[in-house]
Amino acid sequence: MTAVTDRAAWGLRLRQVLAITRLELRKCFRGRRLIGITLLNLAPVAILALIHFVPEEIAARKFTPTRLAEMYAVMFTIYLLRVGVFFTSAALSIQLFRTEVLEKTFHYYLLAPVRREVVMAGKFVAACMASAVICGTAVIASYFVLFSMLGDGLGKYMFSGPGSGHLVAYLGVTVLGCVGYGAVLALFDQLWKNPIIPALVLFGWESVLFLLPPFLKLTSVLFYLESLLPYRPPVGPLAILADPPSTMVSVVGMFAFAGLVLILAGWRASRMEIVYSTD
Amino acid sequence: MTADLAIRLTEVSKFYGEVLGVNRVSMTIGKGITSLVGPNGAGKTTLLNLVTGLVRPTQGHIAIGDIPITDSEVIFRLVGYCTQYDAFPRGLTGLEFVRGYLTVHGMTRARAHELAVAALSAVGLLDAADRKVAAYSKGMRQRVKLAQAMAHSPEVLVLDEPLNGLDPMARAEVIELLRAMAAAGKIVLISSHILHEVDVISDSVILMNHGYVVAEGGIHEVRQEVEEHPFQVLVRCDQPSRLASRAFALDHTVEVKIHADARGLLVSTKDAAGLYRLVNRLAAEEGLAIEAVQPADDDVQSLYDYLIGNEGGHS
Ligand SMILES: Nc1ncnc2c1ncn2[C@@H]1O[C@H](COP(=O)(O)OP(=O)(O)O)[C@@H](O)[C@H]1O
Ligand SMILES: [Mg+2]
Repeated sequence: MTAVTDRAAWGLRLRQVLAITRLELRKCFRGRRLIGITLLNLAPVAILALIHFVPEEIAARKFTPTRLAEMYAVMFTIYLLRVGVFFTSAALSIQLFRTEVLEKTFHYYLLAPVRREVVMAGKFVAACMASAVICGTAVIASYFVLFSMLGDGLGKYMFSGPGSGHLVAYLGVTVLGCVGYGAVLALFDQLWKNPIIPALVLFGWESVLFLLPPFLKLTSVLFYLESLLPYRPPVGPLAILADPPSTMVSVVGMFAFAGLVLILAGWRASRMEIVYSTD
Repeated sequence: MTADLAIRLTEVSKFYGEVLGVNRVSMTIGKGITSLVGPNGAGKTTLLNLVTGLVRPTQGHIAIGDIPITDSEVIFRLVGYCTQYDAFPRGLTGLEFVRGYLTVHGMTRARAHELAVAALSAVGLLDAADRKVAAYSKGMRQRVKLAQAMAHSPEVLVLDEPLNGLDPMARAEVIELLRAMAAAGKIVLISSHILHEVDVISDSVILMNHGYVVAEGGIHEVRQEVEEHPFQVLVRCDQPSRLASRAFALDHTVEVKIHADARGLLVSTKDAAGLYRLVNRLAAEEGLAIEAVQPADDDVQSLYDYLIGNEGGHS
């Protein structure tokens, strides 16, 4: 073997991550596996479309841009983020490891001259990208279905008003959510044989987030995400407020956390043996 | 560095919890075709997985050349492994499967494509390259795995039961490929549960049973060892010394040991059938009272019978 410089080695590993990401994305979007998840994400589009059946004279009076922004904010936090991003990440992250072992296909990557950490990174990036694409599509589609209520005013709202800024922020939160939830759920996939139950517990935990005292809020993914929302819906009377973290902390923290989970997953994978016959 | 490239195992054992996979294997596997032969559960797959680092030895050390097998980032540039597992990543065509594997090596897509096409054509799958692997027959799946294993022209080719599921023509083609690889100076390590399937192509053979290497060497030596292995029969009867003297008179008897309790004996013979005839005759004509007749080392004997294909020859 010729001596390989460190930089060349890292360049090679990066190419390998990308190659794995590409293969994983191809596997992911082939076949019918994601149809259910996609429909789950697109449900708000159908619900929001109903608004177009409201008689015009009422609609014109009621659905001001501010009102629509409120409605969207509620739909986003309650459903698109909490349900959509969560379950999409769950579906995709659990496939990172478990499914491959169950389907006896994990060894294929390991037959290549590649570090197992690199395999895990490629798979994780692919899962995040796939969920970001699915959830992002739902976010954009439901946004336009709702704001098309503004009719001719849509263009103005988007470009002279706050519209495009809000949408970009929602998309940013969605992507961050895919990374954050993806990392937590990938961690669960590492820690438990059957990660579905812990995942549901997490789902419940995040749903009662607003009731939690501030120091517990720090343990939830949503807490970091909600503070980034352009428009925070009003919270109920029982809610306990906590100072939201800064954008910097949220973004850097989320990626750092994902990085840590990935290091753990890579470490676990590097010690794993390929023994399929028993679990 | 390829001048004396070899796979070296030193005192390698693998336990799956309590279950023995392979036990204290030491060997050096060099160039040419080496066949690992033994019935199901003998430990062939375990040994091949050990040699490629997919499982870790409970004890012992394995290296290819001077590279320890734990260094997967380097090892798989030297090694191609066609596993026994018949599962494939979902949704991929044969070409995508092989090309994708090569891109994971870090190759450009163009280079990977070129090598994938070459490998698929070498195994006769070019026509089916754009079909989904899921729609392949068993033989085609076997061949696409083979294409994957050899696509990057590794110096060491490890193949777990590569002839399984192939029709005679495909089998002949694969054998031709293996021979060509061996002729090109590569290490080719294959496994099979049928000795005569691989004996003509093998430069050396390793017989395995229950996790142990039971014989090793050139095919002629191993075959001889198998054929000349004496067969041990345990007889419990009332007059063991009488039977012993008659058994000794037989041509192929190697050794006779009378049990301490004088109620039985152990006969080693290369002609088990002759011994059985004798025992039957003594029982029928001379009133020998027989309690039990059974092969003593059932294991090794049945392995050898199985391997040389004369099952049931002694019963
Ligand atoms: N993952 C595993 N867990 C427990 N036992 C195993 C596992 N894999 C193989 N074994 C055992 O190890 C022995 C050797 O198996 P294997 O290497 O698959 O043999 P072969 O390939 O020759 O059929 C068998 O007794 C088998 O039951
Ligand atoms: Mg096997």
